Amino acid sequence: MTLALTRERIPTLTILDAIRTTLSQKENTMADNAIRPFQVNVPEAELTDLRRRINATRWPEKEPVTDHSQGVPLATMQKLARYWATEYDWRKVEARLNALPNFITEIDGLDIHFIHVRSKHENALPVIVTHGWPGSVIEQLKIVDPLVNPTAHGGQASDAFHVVIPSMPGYGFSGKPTTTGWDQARIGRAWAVLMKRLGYTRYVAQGGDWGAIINDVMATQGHRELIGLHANLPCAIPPEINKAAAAGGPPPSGLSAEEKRAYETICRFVQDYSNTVFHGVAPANAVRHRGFTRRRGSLAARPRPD
Amino acid sequence: MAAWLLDHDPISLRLIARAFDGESTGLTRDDVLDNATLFWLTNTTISAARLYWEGFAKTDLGPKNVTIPVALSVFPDEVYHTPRTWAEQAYPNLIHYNQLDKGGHFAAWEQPKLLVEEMRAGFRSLRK
Repeated sequence: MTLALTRERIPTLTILDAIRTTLSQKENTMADNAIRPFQVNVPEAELTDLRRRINATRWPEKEPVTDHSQGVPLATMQKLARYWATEYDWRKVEARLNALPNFITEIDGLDIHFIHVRSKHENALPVIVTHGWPGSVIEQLKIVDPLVNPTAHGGQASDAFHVVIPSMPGYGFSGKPTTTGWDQARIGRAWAVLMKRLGYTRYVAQGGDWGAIINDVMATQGHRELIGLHANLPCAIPPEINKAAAAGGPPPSGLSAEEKRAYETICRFVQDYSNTVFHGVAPANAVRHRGFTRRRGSLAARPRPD
Repeated sequence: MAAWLLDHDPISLRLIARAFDGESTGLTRDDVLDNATLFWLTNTTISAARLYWEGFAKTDLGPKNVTIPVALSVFPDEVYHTPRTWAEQAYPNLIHYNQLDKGGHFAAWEQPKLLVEEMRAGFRSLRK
């Protein structure tokens, strides 16, 4: 903007303009890769408004079952709401978040929020930890100090990690994509850019849920700096097991007792999340998954505070 | 919105709901509400769920030709069980496999101490 005004006022200073333009472009490039410190500070009015909405909840009738088969029981939600509107204090977790170094940087056109804590121990192993649905970096807050500072948590200095915990696109303090295309492959590529931008040339990745899925995809993208994965949700269901479970049939023959038990858990998982979860799912059906509709067979009480 | 977040899957619901029924399984009431409040304040419930629209059809929970070293921790209340035999098939470079005796889908949140021990053990052989 300054440059434009200068041009209008002094159109003859073309060389100076050219220099300014170059500088401005450099600044812009730098700005695109800039890592900006970030702090969470929610206005009090937002918290007051949330409490007001919770207190104004219109409750449905009590469910006619005594278990969780229809979703979250009314009584549980009422206990939650009572606590949420009275004793719960957002400022505590806000302080826990702000006690850690938070940053935002733009990657592939989107602001990515992340926590980055470097260990004081030399040779600490850099790790990028990815949360899942319906999660956030809050899931990982308890593991940060034990990973970074192992000697204070029953470990050796040689166990230390430098820890990077990003918010996935559309989650928490990361930007919300305004165009389509932010799938696990694109997130994986963005994470590789993030680790590179932080100067890590040899790192590992950890995750469960979407985190595990993203890490697996990342491992197939050929990022040479990524030297290993840890998953707490292994993506290791054999294709024939997938197929049999999706068909809802008996377990394939030749399974060990443990594999049969695992097969049963996968059948239960398929039932819970609809039969469209596994291979060959039609894109149009994908939206029927848990993110967009209630679980099949679940008529859960879903009061909303708005 | 909160009920939707709580109802991730039947086992997690049971574990999470306990926090409000006076029984803690690693998650406190504050843990659950910290996360729910974050979704509310940032108004990200829909933008976050959009990842399912983007990626679920492409999601493969089976082997994907991951050849780099992989460490796995299998928690008993996870949404499905993974035997070592399947882990070895999916990840030819399996460097760690362990079945834990407690914990569910949200390992870092519910059983942070166990997960940290698993990460330390799992990655130990990759350190220089």
